Amino acid sequence: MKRIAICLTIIVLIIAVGVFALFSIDRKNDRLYGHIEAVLGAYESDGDTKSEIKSLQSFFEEDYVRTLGCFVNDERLGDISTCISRLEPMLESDCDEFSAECESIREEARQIYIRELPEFFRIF
Amino acid sequence: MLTVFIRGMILYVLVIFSVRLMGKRQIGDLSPAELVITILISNIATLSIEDVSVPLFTGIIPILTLVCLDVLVSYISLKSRKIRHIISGKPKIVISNGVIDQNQLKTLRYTVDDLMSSLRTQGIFDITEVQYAVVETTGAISAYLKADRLPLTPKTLAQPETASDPPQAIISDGDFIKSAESRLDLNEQEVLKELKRKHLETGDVFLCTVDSQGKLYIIEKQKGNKK
Repeated sequence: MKRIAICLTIIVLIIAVGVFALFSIDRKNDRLYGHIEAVLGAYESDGDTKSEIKSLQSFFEEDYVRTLGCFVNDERLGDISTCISRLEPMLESDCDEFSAECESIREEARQIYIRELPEFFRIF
Repeated sequence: MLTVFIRGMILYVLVIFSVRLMGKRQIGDLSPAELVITILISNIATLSIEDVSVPLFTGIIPILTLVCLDVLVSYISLKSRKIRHIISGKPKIVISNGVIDQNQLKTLRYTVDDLMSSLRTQGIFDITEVQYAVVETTGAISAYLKADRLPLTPKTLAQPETASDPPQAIISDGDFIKSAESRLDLNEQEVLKELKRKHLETGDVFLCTVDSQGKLYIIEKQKGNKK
């Protein structure tokens, strides 16, 4: 009976961890979207885009990766990291694709969240 | 390097915990489902240790899920005979009264060579010595020797055994085993009558075996375990 109680507790904990992971990914994504909006806003209004990129980078490295690294494969986080590191050189070379690169970061982050959702087609 | 070392230590503790949670069983005693789960756990653990790009949680969660489901399913099988048979299967009699059941061997996809080899591992080199043999749910064969080949004991010295199949369970954990009824030319009513004579019901019986002479041996359930 003790074993059954332990197993049921573990199953409840696993479900709790899964739900917690979804919530924390969603929360971190919201903050990441906020930073991306700030970068795009500064870029369009000729503001201090460089410092916004720095702030996005530091949020990504110090907060986003540390939290999501527990639940998400490194490769997906690596893709976002590559996109963020490209922003500054693109800004300096006045590249047309700056906004598109910001959108691709947003899309990658959205994909991370979507892949964690236990939807029927994804399970099977 | 250090990451792999630490992950290895964590998974070592997890695997030990999982094996303890699954219970004490040796490899040979594992049912096919348990064996597959054990192999799966070892595979998942290996991947999680080696691949540092995969979060440790994605290794821990499937291991714990498999172990918990295994424990829960074994608990349910303990409670229900039907589920036990669905999950683990039933033991199959391949030799009865010294006669090989060839149809049963065919159904089990067992060749005579497999049967002979399993008997040899038990020290039986002549198949004609076997009175009764069963293929257990684990795939192992249990054999019962003919009376004239059984080891000599004070009991058999005083009263030599006649050739007959060993006693078979007819009630297990309060459930009447219908398949045993057909094998033993015994009907449920006769058994119930015998139980009634002893002021018992089927639910009060932990184990009831019947030998080839129709003699019942009843073990009552301990108090608190009655259905």
